Amino acid sequence: MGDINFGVNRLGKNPGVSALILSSLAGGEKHGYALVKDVADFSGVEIPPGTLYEALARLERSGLIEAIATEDRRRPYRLTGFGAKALSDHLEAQRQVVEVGQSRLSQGWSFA
Amino acid sequence: MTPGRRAKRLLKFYPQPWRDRYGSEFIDFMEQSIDDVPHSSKRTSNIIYKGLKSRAGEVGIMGPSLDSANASRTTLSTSTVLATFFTVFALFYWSCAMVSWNSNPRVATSLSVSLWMGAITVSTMILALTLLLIGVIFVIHALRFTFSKRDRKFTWPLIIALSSLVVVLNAIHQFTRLTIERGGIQWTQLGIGLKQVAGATQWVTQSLIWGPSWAGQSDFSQAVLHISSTAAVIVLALSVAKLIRLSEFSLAANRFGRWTSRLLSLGMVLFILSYAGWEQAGGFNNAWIGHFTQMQKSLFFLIAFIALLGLLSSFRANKHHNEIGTISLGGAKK
Repeated sequence: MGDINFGVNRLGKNPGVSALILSSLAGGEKHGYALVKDVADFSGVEIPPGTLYEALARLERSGLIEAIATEDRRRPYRLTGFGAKALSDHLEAQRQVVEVGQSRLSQGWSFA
Repeated sequence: MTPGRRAKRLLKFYPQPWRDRYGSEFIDFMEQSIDDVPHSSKRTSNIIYKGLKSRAGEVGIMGPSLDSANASRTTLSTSTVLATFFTVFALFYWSCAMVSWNSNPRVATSLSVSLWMGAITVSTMILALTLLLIGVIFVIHALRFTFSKRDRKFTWPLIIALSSLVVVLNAIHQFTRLTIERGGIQWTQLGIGLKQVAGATQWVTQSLIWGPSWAGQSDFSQAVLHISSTAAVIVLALSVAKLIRLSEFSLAANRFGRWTSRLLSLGMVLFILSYAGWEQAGGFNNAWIGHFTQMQKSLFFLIAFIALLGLLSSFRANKHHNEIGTISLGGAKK
């Protein structure tokens, strides 16, 4: 239980959106719009612009991602080592929840 | 309207520090987004909501600021504005209570009413003196900085602050003319002197609060005085807040800022609780003046809301500072 809280807390407020952004950046650096398109492709979730930039600011402040200096308007972001560890912890905690949930559902529930 | 122009319009919902940091990439993002989906009310409302939330964060009321390194000066400037508005009302309510306290010689005032009256007086003095201290410190700092370093960043806020101070002092002089014409405050008799101070304060503060609504019934010079004095208090609070935000804070100043903003918010809460206690103890019962009107009660709820914003501002900023610190320490351990 402690591990689950730790994994979620490190992603800060709104861990769902943070996990989606970190998962996208785990595949390589991306600028804002490419990131939103990638998240929509692999999860079906459309992150609105206000929510995206709020999350990017929070993750950058926490040291989980960093902006790459560029002359271009499209500023790419990349995952930091600390961000990769936080994402890994979070996904591991989620995996445990998924396993427990699926196992309990398969024992006592019928969807027929 | 072109996507670029629409993006720039939406960007205006965000505060300046946010626009400086994320503005150009946000415009680029929005141009692509508008090209793909030209109209989306969900997207627009999301930007407006997050932009306003970000603005609230920048003044220390809600969520973290982008400028978290300077959280204490942000908090202090917000607390100063909130506490100034609160203190005008607090002085009015204090003067009403003080005028009515122990005013009926046929009925003895209960000890509990007197104790609550003392608490109201202490909390009002805490607020007024703390604000005076903040104003003096930052005006002197700005004056020294302007004249010794010849840096002009303080010039306009300083001119506006000093001009509005002159207008406020003139208004106080005008509104207390009756007291002055009657020979001023009788300091030799403390009880009477205190009542006279309360009476003059009541006249000044009610003129500041309701003055603009009386302007239509007054002659031109009175109307100008009523409107300008209320406006000057607002401008004075905002210009001192600007001086605070422009000042560079040392570590000691950061500590001073944090503790002073907490003192202001605790002063506001103490005042609200003391006043509620005073009224519950029967503060108005033995007085010659009547109970509050519905308008005065409504305004009391308004200042309770200001006190709540003050609490949020002074304690939330510290909470976010700690959260970030905790995350960083967690990373360091790993």
